[in-house]
Amino acid sequence: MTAVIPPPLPGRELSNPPTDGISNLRFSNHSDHLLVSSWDKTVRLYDASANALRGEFMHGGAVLDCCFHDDSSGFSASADCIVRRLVFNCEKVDILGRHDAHVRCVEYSYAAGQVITGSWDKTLKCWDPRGASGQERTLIGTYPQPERVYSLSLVGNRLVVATAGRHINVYDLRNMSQPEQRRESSLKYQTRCVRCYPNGTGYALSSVEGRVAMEVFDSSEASQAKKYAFKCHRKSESGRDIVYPVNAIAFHPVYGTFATGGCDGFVNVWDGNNKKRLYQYSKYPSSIAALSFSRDGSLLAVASSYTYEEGDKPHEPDAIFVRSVNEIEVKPKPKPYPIPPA
Amino acid sequence: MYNKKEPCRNFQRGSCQYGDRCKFLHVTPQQQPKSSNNPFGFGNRQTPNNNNNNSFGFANRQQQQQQQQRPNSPFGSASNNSATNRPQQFKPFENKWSRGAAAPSSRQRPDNQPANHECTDPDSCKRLIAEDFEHERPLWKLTCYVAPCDIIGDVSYEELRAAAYDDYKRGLSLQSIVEKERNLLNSKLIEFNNLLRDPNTASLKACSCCFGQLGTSLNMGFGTRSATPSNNVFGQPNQPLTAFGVSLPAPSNNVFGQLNPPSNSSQTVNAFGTTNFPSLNAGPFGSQLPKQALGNSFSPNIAGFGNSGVNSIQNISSPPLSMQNPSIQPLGISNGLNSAFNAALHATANTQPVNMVQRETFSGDATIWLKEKWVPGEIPEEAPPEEYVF
Repeated sequence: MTAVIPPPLPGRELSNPPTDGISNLRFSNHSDHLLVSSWDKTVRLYDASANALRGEFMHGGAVLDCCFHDDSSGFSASADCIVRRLVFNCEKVDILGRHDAHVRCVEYSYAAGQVITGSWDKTLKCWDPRGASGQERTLIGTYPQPERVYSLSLVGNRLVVATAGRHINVYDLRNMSQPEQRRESSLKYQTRCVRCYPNGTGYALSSVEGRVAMEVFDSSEASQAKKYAFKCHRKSESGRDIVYPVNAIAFHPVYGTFATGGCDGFVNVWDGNNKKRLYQYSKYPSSIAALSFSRDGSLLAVASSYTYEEGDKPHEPDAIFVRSVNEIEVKPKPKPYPIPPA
Repeated sequence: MYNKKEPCRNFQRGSCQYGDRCKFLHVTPQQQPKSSNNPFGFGNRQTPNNNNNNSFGFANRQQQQQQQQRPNSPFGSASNNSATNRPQQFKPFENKWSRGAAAPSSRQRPDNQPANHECTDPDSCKRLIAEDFEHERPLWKLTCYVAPCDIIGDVSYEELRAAAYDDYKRGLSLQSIVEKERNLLNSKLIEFNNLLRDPNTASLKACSCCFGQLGTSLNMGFGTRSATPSNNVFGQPNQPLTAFGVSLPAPSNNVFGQLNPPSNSSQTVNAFGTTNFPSLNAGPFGSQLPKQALGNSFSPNIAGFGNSGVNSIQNISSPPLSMQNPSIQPLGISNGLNSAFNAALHATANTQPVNMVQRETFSGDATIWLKEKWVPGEIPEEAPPEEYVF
């Protein structure tokens, strides 16, 4: 009944990884290029299939996030408070604008044609990337948040912002003057990461206490009843749980299943609709800092990079693994239809 | 030939190693009129609308306390199956949750209190919080928390790391950076302890101020730090204690008074203190002088310490300790830390030459517990942790 599954490999390790912790990595929507931002103040562009470093961009401070614009340019969010545009082919770096504090997240919205950045200065800013220089021309708006921004995610016209203090703001990009919804995370502890479902109906939220909450945008009672949360990335030892933060969530673009990565070094793939875990990859050498699926879902990039959640300790070197994804690992399984006893 | 319609016996008992691949039918008891096969019934018996069918389920926080059984198991079902306290094993393709979730921290507690539950019932609040702390203490300590009665003040690991990097760039010594972080962590733990003792205390808010300050200080551009010592949790070496100072609305002894009886807090601090040795061991610290490494090492050093301390204590702990101290959580770190900690604890910590420096700082921390007034930077003579255990 079961096919023989080849032993899971951690995946191919990319050569020339960053020299310090990896803060985020993203696959391009157009090719298998991987953009990686790191605490070593660089953003690197890799060709994941060819395992080659295509470009490296130095910054003034640690780079906390990066994203693609299209296949020839991207954006970066840095600890020196500057949002930059990176042009890959000519290795050029433009400054798009500044925040008052570290810029924590950057996203590009295709729907609105804007770059959105969230920062620890408690604001969200929208930029028009067509203005090549000069902050005045590029800044579209500044939107205050209740607290420092920890994570952002976009789907369609919706933007979800997760801040410190467990606040969540949902915006409609067409009307940013005020949030469409203001919420509190349904988890008890600090929010780590938020990602919207590819189908735009809701978002997944992860916290530092090994839990992920699946939420929906629709505020009607019927829809809200469908939300739930589950525990994950925990290890039990002598009767108690070691509870690891869940650092990263990535949705598979085709199947809508998602992978979560935690400080325990494991990546789990879940089926949100059926509420099951589909797969667990073998343990990575270090905490999972970031995850990304390629545009067709055939590759998964895993940043295995110690995130210093446990203080300084000897740790494995930071590495990026790119693995091919088997359909069986990510495809939802049909629910067994319960047959009533005859 | 097997009959596909037949329910799976293993599944009824709480676990089937085949999971979805199983040849037999995995149904939960409520789907079957005759539940004679399943002694556990996945804890569904009581509430028909308990959707424990789903291996996820649970912790639908907005729901009422119908699903009281679920909370512990990672995926609903089988809090009753907690009898089978199996360690969770992660096998591919195995739907772990069908196994009754092994729920190591199995307990029946209502996990699904809405986030903004008003503390109308202090006892249950307290119980809830105690259980939370005991069973589900997260690895990362510098977090906000809410379950009735909040602890505010989030610090993400990136923030701590960034702060430490900046500190180092500015020339702050390793020692003081570590100390800051340690103090930050300690004060956060005090907060949590306070919450446990008395969920309704307003002092919580005061404590959280420090973290707000941290956030502020981070954002205000690190250059201004020295300029605003009074606001700055980090400030000069003297400042870190501000965190403590701020957090005590009552006379300083009060907190200690509160904390001392269980002696856990002291222990906690001590734990951190001593635990720090292993982690602060010349190895990781000394060798990692390169800036980035240093920055890294600082970031949640405290978190690490706290954890290791916790873990170690767990190992050594005497009954009174483990009983009440919610902050002592087996958020195990490396075993090396544990053993080192043990060694430190049993030996008279002073004998660890390498760690002397940090040790002193920690002893300083420990002494703090006995003093009304803190003189930061004061390095007391040996203070083995046990001294502070009441």
